[in-house]
Amino acid sequence: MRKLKLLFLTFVFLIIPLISGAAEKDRLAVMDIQDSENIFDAKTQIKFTDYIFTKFQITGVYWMIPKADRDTALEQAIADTAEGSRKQCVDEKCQISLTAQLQANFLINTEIKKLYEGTCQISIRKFDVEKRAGVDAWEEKFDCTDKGIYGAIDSFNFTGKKSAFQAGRISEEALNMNVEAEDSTIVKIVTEPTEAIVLVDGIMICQKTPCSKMIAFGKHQVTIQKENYVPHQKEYDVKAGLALNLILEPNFGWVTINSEPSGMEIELDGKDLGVTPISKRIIETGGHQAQTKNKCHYNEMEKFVIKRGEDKVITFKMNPRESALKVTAKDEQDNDLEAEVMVDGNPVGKTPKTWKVPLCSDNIYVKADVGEFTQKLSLTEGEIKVVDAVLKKAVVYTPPPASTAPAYNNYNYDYSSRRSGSGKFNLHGLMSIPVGGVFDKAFYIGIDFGLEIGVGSGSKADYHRFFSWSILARMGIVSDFNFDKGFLGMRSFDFKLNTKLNFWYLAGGGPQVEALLGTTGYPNKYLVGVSMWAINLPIYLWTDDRSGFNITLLNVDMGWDYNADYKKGQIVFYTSFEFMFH
Amino acid sequence: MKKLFAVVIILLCLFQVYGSNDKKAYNFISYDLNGNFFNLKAFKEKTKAKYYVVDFFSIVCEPCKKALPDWEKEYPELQKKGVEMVVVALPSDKMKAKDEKPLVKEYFETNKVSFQVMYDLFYAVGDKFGVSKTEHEKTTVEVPMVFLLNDEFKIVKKSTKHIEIIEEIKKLTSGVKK
Repeated sequence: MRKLKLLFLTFVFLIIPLISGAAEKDRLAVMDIQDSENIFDAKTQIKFTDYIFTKFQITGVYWMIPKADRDTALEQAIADTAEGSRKQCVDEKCQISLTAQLQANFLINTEIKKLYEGTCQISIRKFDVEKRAGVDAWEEKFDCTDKGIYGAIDSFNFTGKKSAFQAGRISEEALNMNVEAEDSTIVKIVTEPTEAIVLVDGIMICQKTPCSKMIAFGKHQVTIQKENYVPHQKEYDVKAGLALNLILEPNFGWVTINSEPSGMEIELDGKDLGVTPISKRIIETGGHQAQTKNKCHYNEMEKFVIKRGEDKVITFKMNPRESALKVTAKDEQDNDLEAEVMVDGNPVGKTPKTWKVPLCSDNIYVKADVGEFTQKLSLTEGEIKVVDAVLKKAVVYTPPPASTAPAYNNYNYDYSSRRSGSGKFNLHGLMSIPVGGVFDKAFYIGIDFGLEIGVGSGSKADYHRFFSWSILARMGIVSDFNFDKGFLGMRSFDFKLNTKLNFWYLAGGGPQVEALLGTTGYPNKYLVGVSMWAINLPIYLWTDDRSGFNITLLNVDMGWDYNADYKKGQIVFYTSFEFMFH
Repeated sequence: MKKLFAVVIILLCLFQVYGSNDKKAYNFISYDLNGNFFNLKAFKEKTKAKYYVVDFFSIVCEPCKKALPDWEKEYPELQKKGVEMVVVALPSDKMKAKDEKPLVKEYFETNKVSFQVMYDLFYAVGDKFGVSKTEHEKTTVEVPMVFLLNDEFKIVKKSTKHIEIIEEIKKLTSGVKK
């Protein structure tokens, strides 16, 4: 049994250095030696400091803060605590600031002083930052020589002294090693809802449940937390086959926010929540602050506490910010009038008077028998805006009686005959005089005769949204003129078969799309193409029989002139005067 | 004589008011999550940035976590405008400061960010900025808190809302190209 114990202890002591090497070490900063009496020169002092630094380093217990880092921190600490007035950081405030910045757990301060002739003393103190107290000290007398001080430093055991922290660490690491070695099991953790964080003994082992993690046997503090849910914290005795299935308790309530009037922007705990009415939003338990944000009303704020599962309803009764209107009314002859005033459609009274009105009022309307007045408003809080309304007769459109004036419809302002309205088929004759230009320095002029048959799809009343489709056959005589070649001869016969889609957005005309198939007047030369964006202006001279003439202000024909000797393709822009005979 | 005395008093008062303005330079040193030394002054020499965002973070602070994706999204554009960013993670509990560091490290390994993240183990940076305060051995931390520093490390703006700082940067750097 004794042998077994001895073996175990040997094992523990052998394993300690390995463990301490793997774990995060305590950070230690070594300060420059303080030699206020200048027993040694500056260079020698630096050598002593470096020697002490090395002595601590070789213990392997500490993570040594580099000298460069220390110097930067020292500079910073002096600047922070003494605004550069002190050369050395020796007082406690400065040293605490220094160690905090260096994140050092321990600080080493060394002081050399002369005790009496030929006898000096070196004191090394270890300062624990967390405890804010000295935890270790080494002191030795020497003969005030270099050799003497090195000897004194060598006599110190920087590892052999008491170190509570070190002892605790050995125990902690040994326990961890057991965990890693063999005594652990896989624990499946499932939560409702999912995506919770799992901590075991304060260390996060899983960021999103469900998950399966290896946990050492034995008792562990397990914490499972998720935003808006009550954290689950319990000690579990981890054994093989342990599975955690937990339902997390909600830790939220709901808030409903209304306002009178609605449409107010709401800020909850400084963040935009939306515009009222806001219904049943999830909100974490505890204190909250809701407030309105509206420039037209005095903003309201409410602090409230939400308990778990509570459904809180908040209603803000908004008071509008106010401005004032001073309104007078006159007619066009400068006579003062008593007139009715409406602000945003709401009657407020009769002029002349001053009224309080909401700051964000949009418009004012003033009315009397002689006329009316309207104006957009732009008001300033607390100020009186003066409105001097000059009332003018309103121009009101009154449709003429049906018996005395021709109605503005398909029958009388006729598209049914010309462009086939109301689903009727129509046939009419036309004559046009196309005058236009073509590429290749040419233009043409001619006369066309044709017949058009079409069908419309508009309704009688809806004359302005009407389109029709028609087929037009034309025959004509045209001539092409080229600026270089002169007259190219009269075409004996020109035939075009067009199909058109006309869009009649307005009474006066509209664009059209036209497909062309025609002859050119030359043997074996044909025209194939499209025409578009014709702007028609029909003028009906005789409305009773729908005859008249139509001016096509701009007609664009794009075509291909087969076998033409002077042009391969053509784009023709022309204006045509078209006479229609019904 | 009385008048002279009054003038001196007024001048002294004015001086006091002027003197109370925070003209302090907030240079700091710290260590990142991998234990690398960080010095804001050296960082300035390296980056030549005109503004520095110091975002105080805590692992238990949900708004701090929510702000990080926004910063990450804005960061490349901010860098182009001469703005650099440093996150300073503060321990939520002084007594567990050392244990919390691995959690913070793991968090930032999962939620990677392009800017540097410091771990302020002893609240040195937090205390300096007034974000952390220790009284009766208890440390309280006020997060989220974001500071915008100029190139002299003086505070240009301080806010609990990161959006306000982003807006301020945009205002200050409109038309600026690094």
